[in-house]
Amino acid sequence: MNLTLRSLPARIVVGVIVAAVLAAIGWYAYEAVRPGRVNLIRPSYAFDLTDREQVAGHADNIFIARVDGIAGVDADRGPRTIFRVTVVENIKGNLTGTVLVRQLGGKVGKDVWVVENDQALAVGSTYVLATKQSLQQKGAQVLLAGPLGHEIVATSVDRQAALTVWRDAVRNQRRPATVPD
Amino acid sequence: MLLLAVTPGVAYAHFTGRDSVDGGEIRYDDHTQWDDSRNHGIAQWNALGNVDMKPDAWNTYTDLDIQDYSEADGLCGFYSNEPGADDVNLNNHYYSGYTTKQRRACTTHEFGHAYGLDHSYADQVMDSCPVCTTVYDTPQSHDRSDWRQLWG
Repeated sequence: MNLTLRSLPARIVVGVIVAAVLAAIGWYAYEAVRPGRVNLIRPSYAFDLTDREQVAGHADNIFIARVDGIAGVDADRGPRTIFRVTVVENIKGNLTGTVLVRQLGGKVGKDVWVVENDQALAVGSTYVLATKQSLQQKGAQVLLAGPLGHEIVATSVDRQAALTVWRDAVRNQRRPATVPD
Repeated sequence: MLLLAVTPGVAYAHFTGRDSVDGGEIRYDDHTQWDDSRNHGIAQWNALGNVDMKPDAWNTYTDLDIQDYSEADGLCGFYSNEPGADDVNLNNHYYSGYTTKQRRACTTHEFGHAYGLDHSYADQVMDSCPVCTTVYDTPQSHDRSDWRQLWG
Protein backbone atom coordinates (compact mmCIF):
# COMPACT_ATOMS: atom_id res chain seq x y z
CA MET A 1 0.00 0.00 0.00
CA ASN A 2 1.37 3.38 -1.01
CA LEU A 3 0.91 5.72 1.99
CA THR A 4 1.28 9.18 0.52
CA LEU A 5 -0.31 12.21 2.19
CA ARG A 6 -3.04 12.01 -0.39
CA SER A 7 -4.25 8.67 0.93
CA LEU A 8 -7.00 8.66 3.56
CA PRO A 9 -5.16 6.48 6.16
CA ALA A 10 -2.08 8.72 5.97
CA ARG A 11 -4.19 11.83 6.45
CA ILE A 12 -5.90 10.27 9.47
CA VAL A 13 -2.55 9.33 11.04
CA VAL A 14 -1.14 12.83 10.47
CA GLY A 15 -4.36 14.35 11.83
CA VAL A 16 -4.20 12.27 15.01
CA ILE A 17 -0.53 13.17 15.56
CA VAL A 18 -1.22 16.89 15.04
CA ALA A 19 -4.18 16.74 17.42
CA ALA A 20 -2.09 14.95 20.07
CA VAL A 21 0.74 17.50 19.77
CA LEU A 22 -1.71 20.42 20.04
CA ALA A 23 -3.39 18.81 23.06
CA ALA A 24 -0.01 18.32 24.76
CA ILE A 25 1.00 21.93 24.06
CA GLY A 26 -2.34 23.13 25.39
CA TRP A 27 -2.03 21.04 28.55
CA TYR A 28 1.52 22.25 29.28
CA ALA A 29 0.48 25.86 28.62
CA TYR A 30 -2.47 25.49 31.00
CA GLU A 31 -0.23 23.94 33.67
CA ALA A 32 2.26 26.80 33.28
CA VAL A 33 -0.27 29.60 33.74
CA ARG A 34 -2.86 28.15 36.12
CA PRO A 35 -2.60 29.32 39.74
CA GLY A 36 -1.52 26.90 42.46
CA ARG A 37 -4.31 25.05 44.23
CA VAL A 38 -4.81 24.34 47.91
CA ASN A 39 -6.28 20.85 48.32
CA LEU A 40 -7.82 19.77 51.61
CA ILE A 41 -7.28 16.25 52.95
CA ARG A 42 -9.97 14.95 55.27
CA PRO A 43 -8.52 12.23 57.49
CA SER A 44 -10.62 9.54 59.20
CA TYR A 45 -9.21 8.18 62.42
CA ALA A 46 -8.60 4.46 62.90
CA PHE A 47 -8.94 4.94 66.65
CA ASP A 48 -9.46 7.80 69.10
CA LEU A 49 -6.38 9.85 68.24
CA THR A 50 -7.34 12.41 70.89
CA ASP A 51 -6.76 9.84 73.65
CA ARG A 52 -3.14 10.18 74.77
CA GLU A 53 -2.97 6.73 76.37
CA GLN A 54 -4.22 5.05 73.19
CA VAL A 55 -1.80 7.08 71.08
CA ALA A 56 0.99 6.00 73.44
CA GLY A 57 -0.14 2.38 73.10
CA HIS A 58 -0.17 2.48 69.30
CA ALA A 59 3.04 4.46 68.75
CA ASP A 60 6.36 2.67 68.36
CA ASN A 61 8.23 5.81 69.34
CA ILE A 62 7.44 8.98 71.24
CA PHE A 63 10.30 11.44 71.34
CA ILE A 64 11.30 15.08 71.43
CA ALA A 65 12.96 16.13 68.19
CA ARG A 66 14.11 19.23 66.36
CA VAL A 67 13.01 19.54 62.72
CA ASP A 68 16.14 20.22 60.66
CA GLY A 69 14.77 20.25 57.14
CA ILE A 70 12.76 18.62 54.38
CA ALA A 71 14.36 15.57 52.78
CA GLY A 72 11.73 15.26 50.04
CA VAL A 73 8.10 14.74 49.16
CA ASP A 74 6.52 11.41 48.25
CA ALA A 75 3.76 12.40 45.83
CA ASP A 76 2.03 9.02 45.89
CA ARG A 77 -1.16 8.60 47.94
CA GLY A 78 -1.05 11.83 49.83
CA PRO A 79 1.39 13.46 49.26
CA ARG A 80 3.70 12.90 52.25
CA THR A 81 6.43 15.33 53.23
CA ILE A 82 9.58 13.65 54.52
CA PHE A 83 11.22 15.66 57.31
CA ARG A 84 14.74 15.24 58.65
CA VAL A 85 14.68 15.52 62.45
CA THR A 86 17.26 15.19 65.21
CA VAL A 87 16.27 13.19 68.26
CA VAL A 88 16.64 15.20 71.46
CA GLU A 89 15.09 12.84 74.01
CA ASN A 90 13.18 9.54 73.91
CA ILE A 91 9.98 9.04 75.89
CA LYS A 92 9.08 5.68 74.32
CA GLY A 93 11.48 3.74 72.10
CA ASN A 94 15.16 4.39 71.57
CA LEU A 95 15.76 6.36 68.39
CA THR A 96 19.05 8.16 67.99
CA GLY A 97 20.61 10.81 65.76
CA THR A 98 18.88 11.88 62.57
CA VAL A 99 15.53 10.28 61.70
CA LEU A 100 13.26 10.67 58.67
CA VAL A 101 9.63 11.38 59.59
CA ARG A 102 6.82 11.20 57.02
CA GLN A 103 3.82 13.49 57.47
CA LEU A 104 0.65 13.50 55.37
CA GLY A 105 0.35 16.67 53.27
CA GLY A 106 2.83 18.84 51.45
CA LYS A 107 3.65 20.64 48.24
CA VAL A 108 3.93 19.06 44.80
CA GLY A 109 4.74 21.50 42.04
CA LYS A 110 2.56 24.55 42.60
CA ASP A 111 -0.19 22.66 44.46
CA VAL A 112 -0.37 22.27 48.24
CA TRP A 113 -2.18 19.56 50.22
CA VAL A 114 -3.31 20.59 53.71
CA VAL A 115 -4.70 18.17 56.29
CA GLU A 116 -7.91 19.30 58.01
CA ASN A 117 -7.30 20.55 61.60
CA ASP A 118 -3.60 19.84 61.33
CA GLN A 119 -0.41 21.79 60.82
CA ALA A 120 2.70 20.82 58.93
CA LEU A 121 5.89 20.45 60.96
CA ALA A 122 7.90 23.67 60.86
CA VAL A 123 11.60 23.53 60.10
CA GLY A 124 13.57 24.88 63.08
CA SER A 125 10.88 24.01 65.63
CA THR A 126 10.98 21.34 68.32
CA TYR A 127 8.13 18.90 68.92
CA VAL A 128 7.07 15.81 70.77
CA LEU A 129 6.45 13.32 67.95
CA ALA A 130 4.41 10.11 68.17
CA THR A 131 5.40 7.81 65.32
CA LYS A 132 5.32 4.29 63.96
CA GLN A 133 7.74 2.48 61.70
CA SER A 134 6.78 3.44 58.15
CA LEU A 135 5.49 0.70 55.88
CA GLN A 136 6.21 2.83 52.83
CA GLN A 137 9.82 3.80 53.48
CA LYS A 138 12.27 1.45 55.16
CA GLY A 139 13.99 3.03 58.14
CA ALA A 140 11.66 6.04 58.23
CA GLN A 141 9.00 6.86 60.80
CA VAL A 142 5.44 7.88 59.98
CA LEU A 143 3.80 10.54 62.11
CA LEU A 144 0.54 9.48 63.72
CA ALA A 145 -2.33 11.67 62.56
CA GLY A 146 -4.43 13.75 64.92
CA PRO A 147 -3.70 16.45 67.48
CA LEU A 148 -1.29 14.35 69.58
CA GLY A 149 0.93 13.14 66.74
CA HIS A 150 3.01 16.29 67.00
CA GLU A 151 2.93 18.87 69.77
CA ILE A 152 5.21 21.87 69.66
CA VAL A 153 7.70 22.38 72.49
CA ALA A 154 8.63 26.04 72.44
CA THR A 155 10.11 26.54 75.92
CA SER A 156 11.75 24.54 78.70
CA VAL A 157 8.46 24.80 80.60
CA ASP A 158 6.63 23.26 77.59
CA ARG A 159 9.23 20.53 77.46
CA GLN A 160 8.88 19.63 81.13
CA ALA A 161 5.08 19.61 80.85
CA ALA A 162 5.23 17.44 77.73
CA LEU A 163 7.61 14.98 79.37
CA THR A 164 5.32 14.68 82.38
CA VAL A 165 2.09 14.02 80.45
CA TRP A 166 3.69 11.71 77.90
CA ARG A 167 5.62 9.65 80.47
CA ASP A 168 2.37 9.27 82.37
CA ALA A 169 0.56 8.23 79.17
CA VAL A 170 3.27 5.69 78.34
CA ARG A 171 2.97 4.23 81.85
CA ASN A 172 -0.79 3.86 81.34
CA GLN A 173 -0.71 3.09 77.62
CA ARG A 174 -3.55 1.04 76.13
CA ARG A 175 -3.73 -0.70 72.80
CA PRO A 176 -6.63 0.88 70.85
CA ALA A 177 -9.53 -1.58 70.86
CA THR A 178 -10.53 -0.64 67.30
CA VAL A 179 -7.08 -1.37 65.87
CA PRO A 180 -6.43 -4.99 64.92
CA ASP A 181 -3.36 -6.80 66.31
CA MET B 1 -29.78 35.16 74.39
CA LEU B 2 -33.00 33.89 75.94
CA LEU B 3 -33.95 32.30 72.61
CA LEU B 4 -30.59 30.49 72.46
CA ALA B 5 -31.01 29.31 76.01
CA VAL B 6 -34.39 27.70 75.35
CA THR B 7 -33.69 26.29 71.85
CA PRO B 8 -33.13 22.59 72.38
CA GLY B 9 -30.40 20.65 70.54
CA VAL B 10 -29.74 22.79 67.47
CA ALA B 11 -28.03 20.57 64.87
CA TYR B 12 -25.74 22.38 62.47
CA ALA B 13 -25.05 21.38 58.91
CA HIS B 14 -21.58 20.04 58.18
CA PHE B 15 -20.40 20.77 54.66
CA THR B 16 -16.86 20.89 53.32
CA GLY B 17 -17.53 23.29 50.45
CA ARG B 18 -15.94 20.84 48.03
CA ASP B 19 -17.23 17.62 46.54
CA SER B 20 -16.70 15.18 43.69
CA VAL B 21 -20.16 15.57 42.16
CA ASP B 22 -20.03 16.54 38.50
CA GLY B 23 -23.08 16.81 36.28
CA GLY B 24 -25.37 15.38 38.95
CA GLU B 25 -23.32 12.22 39.50
CA ILE B 26 -19.98 10.87 40.70
CA ARG B 27 -18.12 8.77 38.14
CA TYR B 28 -15.52 6.63 39.87
CA ASP B 29 -12.49 4.62 38.82
CA ASP B 30 -12.15 1.53 40.96
CA HIS B 31 -8.68 0.51 42.18
CA THR B 32 -9.61 -0.90 45.59
CA GLN B 33 -9.46 -4.51 46.68
CA TRP B 34 -12.22 -3.86 49.24
CA ASP B 35 -15.14 -4.68 46.92
CA ASP B 36 -17.71 -5.43 49.62
CA SER B 37 -17.24 -2.13 51.44
CA ARG B 38 -17.09 -0.19 48.16
CA ASN B 39 -20.39 -1.73 47.00
CA HIS B 40 -21.96 -1.19 50.41
CA GLY B 41 -20.95 2.48 50.57
CA ILE B 42 -22.17 3.20 47.05
CA ALA B 43 -25.50 1.49 47.71
CA GLN B 44 -26.03 3.50 50.91
CA TRP B 45 -25.55 6.92 49.34
CA ASN B 46 -27.25 6.02 46.05
CA ALA B 47 -30.33 5.02 48.03
CA LEU B 48 -30.74 8.63 49.21
CA GLY B 49 -31.60 10.17 45.88
CA ASN B 50 -30.67 10.86 42.32
CA VAL B 51 -27.01 11.88 42.66
CA ASP B 52 -25.56 8.45 42.03
CA MET B 53 -22.07 7.04 42.18
CA LYS B 54 -21.46 5.12 38.96
CA PRO B 55 -18.43 3.43 37.39
CA ASP B 56 -16.49 5.56 34.95
CA ALA B 57 -17.18 4.85 31.28
CA TRP B 58 -15.31 5.53 28.03
CA ASN B 59 -17.35 8.67 27.40
CA THR B 60 -17.27 10.16 30.93
CA TYR B 61 -14.66 11.97 33.01
CA THR B 62 -13.45 10.31 36.21
CA ASP B 63 -14.56 12.33 39.22
CA LEU B 64 -13.21 10.04 41.93
CA ASP B 65 -10.45 7.44 42.22
CA ILE B 66 -11.13 4.78 44.85
CA GLN B 67 -7.79 3.32 45.84
CA ASP B 68 -5.82 1.62 48.64
CA TYR B 69 -2.60 2.37 50.47
CA SER B 70 -0.67 0.81 53.35
CA GLU B 71 0.74 2.95 56.12
CA ALA B 72 0.60 2.84 59.94
CA ASP B 73 -0.49 6.48 60.17
CA GLY B 74 -3.50 6.05 62.47
CA LEU B 75 -6.02 6.61 59.67
CA CYS B 76 -8.56 4.12 58.34
CA GLY B 77 -8.65 6.27 55.22
CA PHE B 78 -8.75 9.77 53.86
CA TYR B 79 -10.41 11.82 51.14
CA SER B 80 -8.58 14.48 49.19
CA ASN B 81 -9.61 16.99 46.58
CA GLU B 82 -7.22 16.86 43.66
CA PRO B 83 -6.55 19.02 40.58
CA GLY B 84 -7.98 16.16 38.49
CA ALA B 85 -10.14 13.35 39.87
CA ASP B 86 -10.48 13.42 43.66
CA ASP B 87 -9.20 10.49 45.75
CA VAL B 88 -10.66 8.17 48.35
CA ASN B 89 -7.77 6.29 49.98
CA LEU B 90 -8.51 3.20 52.08
CA ASN B 91 -5.77 1.98 54.42
CA ASN B 92 -4.93 -1.74 53.89
CA HIS B 93 -2.90 -1.72 57.09
CA TYR B 94 -6.01 -1.35 59.25
CA TYR B 95 -8.61 -2.70 56.82
CA SER B 96 -6.92 -6.11 56.71
CA GLY B 97 -7.73 -6.66 60.40
CA TYR B 98 -11.08 -4.89 60.52
CA THR B 99 -14.48 -6.53 60.69
CA THR B 100 -16.73 -6.17 57.64
CA LYS B 101 -18.77 -3.58 59.54
CA GLN B 102 -15.70 -1.45 60.34
CA ARG B 103 -14.54 -1.55 56.70
CA ARG B 104 -18.02 -0.60 55.51
CA ALA B 105 -18.20 2.24 58.05
CA CYS B 106 -14.92 3.81 56.97
CA THR B 107 -15.66 3.45 53.24
CA THR B 108 -19.20 4.85 53.56
CA HIS B 109 -17.71 7.74 55.55
CA GLU B 110 -15.15 8.52 52.83
CA PHE B 111 -17.84 8.48 50.16
CA GLY B 112 -19.76 10.97 52.32
CA HIS B 113 -16.84 13.38 51.87
CA ALA B 114 -17.11 12.88 48.11
CA TYR B 115 -20.65 14.23 48.42
CA GLY B 116 -19.34 17.29 50.29
CA LEU B 117 -20.23 16.19 53.82
CA ASP B 118 -17.87 17.17 56.62
CA HIS B 119 -17.19 15.46 59.93
CA SER B 120 -20.14 15.79 62.29
CA TYR B 121 -21.26 13.90 65.37
CA ALA B 122 -20.12 10.71 67.12
CA ASP B 123 -23.43 8.95 66.43
CA GLN B 124 -23.28 9.57 62.66
CA VAL B 125 -21.37 7.83 59.88
CA MET B 126 -19.56 11.17 59.35
CA ASP B 127 -17.98 10.95 62.83
CA SER B 128 -14.28 11.82 62.46
CA CYS B 129 -13.53 8.33 63.79
CA PRO B 130 -16.07 6.16 61.95
CA VAL B 131 -14.71 2.92 63.45
CA CYS B 132 -14.69 4.12 67.08
CA THR B 133 -17.23 3.39 69.82
CA THR B 134 -20.53 2.40 68.19
CA VAL B 135 -19.76 1.71 64.53
CA TYR B 136 -22.32 3.10 62.10
CA ASP B 137 -21.93 1.77 58.57
CA THR B 138 -25.03 3.48 57.15
CA PRO B 139 -25.94 7.19 56.94
CA GLN B 140 -27.75 8.26 60.11
CA SER B 141 -30.38 11.00 60.55
CA HIS B 142 -28.00 13.97 60.54
CA ASP B 143 -25.93 12.48 57.69
CA ARG B 144 -29.10 12.14 55.62
CA SER B 145 -30.30 15.61 56.55
CA ASP B 146 -26.97 17.16 55.48
CA TRP B 147 -27.00 15.15 52.25
CA ARG B 148 -30.56 16.20 51.41
CA GLN B 149 -29.73 19.84 52.11
CA LEU B 150 -26.99 19.66 49.50
CA TRP B 151 -28.52 17.36 46.91
CA GLY B 152 -32.28 17.44 47.49
